[in-house]
Amino acid sequence: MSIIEIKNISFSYNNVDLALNDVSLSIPQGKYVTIVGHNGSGKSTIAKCIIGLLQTSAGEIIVDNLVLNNENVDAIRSKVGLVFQNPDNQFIGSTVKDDIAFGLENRRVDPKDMDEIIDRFAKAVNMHEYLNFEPTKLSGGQKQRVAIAGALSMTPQILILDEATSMLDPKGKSEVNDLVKQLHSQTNMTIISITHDIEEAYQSDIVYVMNEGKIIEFGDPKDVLAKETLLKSIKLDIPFALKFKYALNKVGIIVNDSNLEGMVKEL
Amino acid sequence: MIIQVDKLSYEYSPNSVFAYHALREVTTSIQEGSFTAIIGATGSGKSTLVQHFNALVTPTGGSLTVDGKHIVANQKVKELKPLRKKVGLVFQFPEYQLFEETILKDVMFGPLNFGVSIDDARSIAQESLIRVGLDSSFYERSPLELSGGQKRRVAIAGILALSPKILVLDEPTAGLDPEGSASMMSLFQNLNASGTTIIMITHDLNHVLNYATDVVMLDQGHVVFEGHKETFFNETDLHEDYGLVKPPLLALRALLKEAKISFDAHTLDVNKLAQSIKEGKHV
Repeated sequence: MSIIEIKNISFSYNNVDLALNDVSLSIPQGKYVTIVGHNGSGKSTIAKCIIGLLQTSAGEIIVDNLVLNNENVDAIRSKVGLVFQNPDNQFIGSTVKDDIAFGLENRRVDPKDMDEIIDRFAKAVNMHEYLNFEPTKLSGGQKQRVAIAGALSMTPQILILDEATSMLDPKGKSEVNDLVKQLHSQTNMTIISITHDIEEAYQSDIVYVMNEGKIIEFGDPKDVLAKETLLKSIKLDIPFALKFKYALNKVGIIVNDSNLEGMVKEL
Repeated sequence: MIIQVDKLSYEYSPNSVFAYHALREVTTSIQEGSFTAIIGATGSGKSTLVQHFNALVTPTGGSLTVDGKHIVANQKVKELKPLRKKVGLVFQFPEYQLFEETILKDVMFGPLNFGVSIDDARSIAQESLIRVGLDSSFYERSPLELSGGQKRRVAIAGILALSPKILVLDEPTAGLDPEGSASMMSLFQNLNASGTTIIMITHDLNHVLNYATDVVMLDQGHVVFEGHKETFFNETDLHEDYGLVKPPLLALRALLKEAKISFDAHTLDVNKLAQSIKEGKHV
């Protein structure tokens, strides 16, 4: 079953160039989906359309059986958590605790219940020892984990990460990626990660490749990201595991698996 | 040896409650013409160290020599201008420092400051912009209307306009997309090939693996490694000891080792690695 169904949507920021050009996609419930492509390819625009921050000029968006329109937009937003790129621009509270509380207050959660909820989600992102820390005392990776806790405390069915790791150093990146993987395996939440990181995309269930406002390829990352010529034509690299596979092929060693562990086993 | 650092210490806010030793008796050197990566965790002293290279900060203990200019502790450094011209320092997110009305003017600012005539400054600026891949259609545009990666190119052109012998870069690809990052790195590689010594702070071991020739690694103000890139990756496990994220090639090598498959443990190139597996040769 599709949790998000997008049918032929188009969008333009300036009424001249189409940032999204007749895009359709269907995201199955509970999958970890990545959308890759360069800056300006339309990746982030899709996320903003899904939660109704931007209004499409054509087409239809259905989230959990609700058609996106003025009537349903609030209901849809309550189903979708969104984490943006810049860790500093989305930290609102004066402490970690306040920051997670912000969304709960907006939802008029009973203050008596709040501590328990904050504790639970701070634990889920492994930040419960930092509840009284100010944002200036946190690393970028830690701030992004707090942002994820804030989004999760709204108990969304879908979590969208819009380049959530692109401003982090490799360590912060792997902290956040590990957390997302763990959440996905534990909660059956649908995760949509808009990313530049081809290695992350390789780990996902389904990948969509975007270029110039269109989806040019999608499916199992093992197949999609193996299309070296296609990816090179839009200046994306192939995952390292496939580079190794091709390098082995070139010297006449054929392996079937597409993961490093599996290939090494075959050798 | 273009830079020699000798028992250099640096303390922020000495004699106060905020006193903090960022560097402790650091001794290291940078080879002329090298592409040296400076790595280490946040707070290890990387940025403080490189800021000594153009005397933006001066040591509180020890000394350093940069291309013949000796800088010792607690001594007012006179005649800094030649050093500032020799050593170009590009901060993190240099695009925040663009301020002129047009791109050409922004790049001309440095040469004009060093007393170059307007006509010469203009032609130097034009050359620098070409080197970073921005053509004449950009000259009269405002730096503010460019994309992040383009802005950063303008900022770097501003430094190149002083034709520095040594280019110091503090995480130059932070926040760029993969295409922007790769073309930025190949720009530095080209500058290095034409003789500029490149010193680059980075968190990304993939960049060290793919571009650097030498590595200096810091931890809590101490040098814990200095030497060739190959030595760093082949003969030490430092990247693991200090919790750096492993490039996939090193992860692969660890897997091969574990499975007792023989391969050339010295190559950092995936194709050569595959070839060595084929030959089953253990080097």
